[in-house]
Amino acid sequence: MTITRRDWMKFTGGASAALASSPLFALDEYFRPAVSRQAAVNTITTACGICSPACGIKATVQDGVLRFVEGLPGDFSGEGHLCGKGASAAGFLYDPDRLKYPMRRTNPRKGFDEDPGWVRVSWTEALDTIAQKIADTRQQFGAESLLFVTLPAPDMWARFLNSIGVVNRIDHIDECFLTDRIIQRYTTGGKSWSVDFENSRYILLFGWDILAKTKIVHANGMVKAKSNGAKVVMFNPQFSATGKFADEWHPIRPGSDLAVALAMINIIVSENLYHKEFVDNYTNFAEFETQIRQHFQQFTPEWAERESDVPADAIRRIAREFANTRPAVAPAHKKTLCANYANASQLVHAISILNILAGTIDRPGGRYFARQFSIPGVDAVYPPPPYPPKQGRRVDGKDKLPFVLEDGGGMFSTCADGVLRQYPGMIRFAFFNAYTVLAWPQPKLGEEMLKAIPFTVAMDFLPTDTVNMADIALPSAIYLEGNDVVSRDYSAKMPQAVARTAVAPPIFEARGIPFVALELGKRLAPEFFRTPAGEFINLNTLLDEKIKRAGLGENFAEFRAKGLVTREQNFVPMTRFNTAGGGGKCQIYVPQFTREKGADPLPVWKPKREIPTADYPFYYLTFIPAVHKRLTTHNNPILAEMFGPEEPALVPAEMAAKLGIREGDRIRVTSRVGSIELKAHLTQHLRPDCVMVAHGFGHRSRLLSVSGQKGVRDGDVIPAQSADELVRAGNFAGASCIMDAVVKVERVS
Amino acid sequence: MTIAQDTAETRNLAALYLLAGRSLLTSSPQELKAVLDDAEEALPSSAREPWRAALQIGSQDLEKEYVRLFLSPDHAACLPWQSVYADPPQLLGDAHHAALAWYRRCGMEPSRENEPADHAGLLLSFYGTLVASGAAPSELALFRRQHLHWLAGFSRKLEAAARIPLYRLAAELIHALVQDPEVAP
Ligand code: SF4
Repeated sequence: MTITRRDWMKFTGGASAALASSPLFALDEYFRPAVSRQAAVNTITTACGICSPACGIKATVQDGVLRFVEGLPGDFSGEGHLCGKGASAAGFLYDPDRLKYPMRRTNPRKGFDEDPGWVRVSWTEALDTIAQKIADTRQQFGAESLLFVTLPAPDMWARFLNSIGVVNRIDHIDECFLTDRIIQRYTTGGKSWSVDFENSRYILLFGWDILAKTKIVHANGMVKAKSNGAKVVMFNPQFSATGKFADEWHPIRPGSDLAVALAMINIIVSENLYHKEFVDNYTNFAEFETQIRQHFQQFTPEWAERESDVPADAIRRIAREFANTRPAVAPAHKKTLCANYANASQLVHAISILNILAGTIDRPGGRYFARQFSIPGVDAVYPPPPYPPKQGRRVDGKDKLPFVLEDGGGMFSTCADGVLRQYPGMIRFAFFNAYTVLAWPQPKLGEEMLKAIPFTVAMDFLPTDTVNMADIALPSAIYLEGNDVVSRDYSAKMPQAVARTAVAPPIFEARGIPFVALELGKRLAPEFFRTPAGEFINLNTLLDEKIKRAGLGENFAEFRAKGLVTREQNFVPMTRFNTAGGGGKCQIYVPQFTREKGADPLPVWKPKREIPTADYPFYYLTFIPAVHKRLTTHNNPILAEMFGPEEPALVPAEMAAKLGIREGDRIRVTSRVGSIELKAHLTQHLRPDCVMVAHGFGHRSRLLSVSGQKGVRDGDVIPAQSADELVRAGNFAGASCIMDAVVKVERVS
Repeated sequence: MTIAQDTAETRNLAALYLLAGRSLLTSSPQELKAVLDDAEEALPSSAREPWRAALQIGSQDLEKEYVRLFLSPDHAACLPWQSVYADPPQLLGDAHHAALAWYRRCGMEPSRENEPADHAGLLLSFYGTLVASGAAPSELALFRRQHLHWLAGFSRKLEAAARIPLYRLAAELIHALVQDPEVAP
């Protein structure tokens, strides 16, 4: 039924002729005749998108609006539960601060105290402008002048970057798992997120505060392990949540875990305690036995005690227990091991060797490779023409680190140095997708970098610090606003996939990054964005095709109706490992890790980058509070209430007494690159030579109503680095040193 | 003057609500001028000239201020959605559902899909339409109670944050309307 102005007047009780003739009261562009009626409350199966296990969600939606979320029964990741972050979904989806429309900056001056002077533009205008800018910049300054900074991005985004020959692509990974990914490629065959905690009898944790990270899948695994009688041993300078849960906690000196791991390998190898059947059949131990035995002899427990403060007897005993209590595992996940310190490449290699010696790679009770549905990417569905060669200088210096170059992910930690100092003027255009410089060590340099780049685009769901500095801001849809398929890879002994279904259409004019990739691609490299039939790729058709080829349904609609698909199968341990150059075997000695490539075939001792001095006598530690995910959740009012809007520094009571600091005092924490001021919270649960600050606070954007201008940036005291420093430190797998700082602490009067 | 006593007064009051509402919905000076033409008679004579003068502004300047105040404001000072002033603040909260129910009862709904229905501009415009259509006083009172009470605080914030005369005038008008909605300013 079409309602005319006359009908409207009649319906609402009648009005005078004068009113009816007034243009004011027409159903105008702001109102239209109602076409929809209040929809029934319905339940939608979808998946969390805040952290990587992507727990299944049962969402209750009323009239197109999310009302409630709960865990999805049968889901391997969440086991029917959501953590606080996952349960606060509506706080992200309906954050009043969300970016709502594409916007163009009118104020050329950039800074957190500058009003950007945003004006709305249409998506077409925004995309045309960006495409033109990319084309002009590339033509004038070459492909090397373009910088794309993203979280690990969907296949469509990768295709877009490949289609235009981007060389300076930097993903989030060096602050997370780059180092592990590189090392595992050569030692066990690839990075894995899966640990069979529940069947493990001995769990050895180097720093990883599993329980406080609150990934449900890990926390549940630990609880099951303990109830099945596993022993948990924790090395951590802080008596953390997991430390309290563990059977044994050792307040290790920050950055010295490597020493303990090396000494443990020494004990296990020299006393022949390793898992003989696994080591003989599935590793290259026999081939390099002499080198391996000789190499590790130098790392005695007494030496390790001097480096780590962990008693030699304890190291010896733990090594024996680890080898003799089967199955045992030394889990490694993300940043804790892989990104904190300059010696992470060696540490990850050493931990990988411990797991190999325990014989639990892809074995019950160990670290295993996820059994997954194989979901094809866009390049498999629609094979592209040959991509153009990648030519130009690498702004992050990854060409100096052959293994990082081979990996392709790029490095955040060296990016600002590259833009400002190594290659000033080279980067002329940058696109930031869901990333903000607050995440970087020394974010001040990141700020300067943003000011130095002539044109930047930022796509995000909130007006972050990076968005504040952008020339064009694009509103991003979030995980609850799009359709996708999520294959599980955390608790994955058999394949399971969840239909990530939009609980609501993207709010205002938000769009997903695949849309942007496709639209920019059509404008800049159309030949890469056509199907074999010559039409432009359609994202819905592409998703249908992926679902079909993965065997999850005829199309997404059918898959969505199922919600969760599991393929029941037995876990059959691998007998050939996909190691790069390993001939199907796990590699303890990695011959590809050559000196020429800045690496060592066996892990060697290296200290962390920053060691306490008279000027900076304390170790600086950071952590991510359990209720937060990196720096992306702090504007959520529910989560902000749970942890508080600002973070205090955790100061050991012993240090506080020496420095005259009392609970609640304001303190200044200073390193060689900067200082921060915040309140002190005294604790007995931290080594007396450490001070600890939460990550993710200190957003500068005034446009964030909950988190903006609150707290301090932990990174302001953490030195950024250059690629040359990484090379000199032997940090060949590119760890970003996001916790590698020493500081002085003083009370602010 | 109380409303709905005669057509001219009703019309005038409705026109003022529509002017107030539209000033929060659009950043087009042309569109606002057209609405002002209709509302001019209803404005006190002392306010007419300032409104005219306030609309002598370039489209981009008005758009910049519109975005700064309503779409990306410093610490959310003037966000124009009612649910944002609930606890916890959010878009598409209960006020959105309640406003949508009102519109739908009257056979209409907001044209912009995927946007909240409890935008101050929509609420004021809708109320103006209710007034114009001769809705019962009890109904008008109910709508005011449910959806207009928060605009008194909002208008004060708008007045304080506005950098151009137009939004100071809009804030004054909204304040006058919602303070004592039965009395025309
Ligand atoms: S652990 Fe929490 S944040 Fe991570 S996917 Fe599960 S519910 Fe989401």
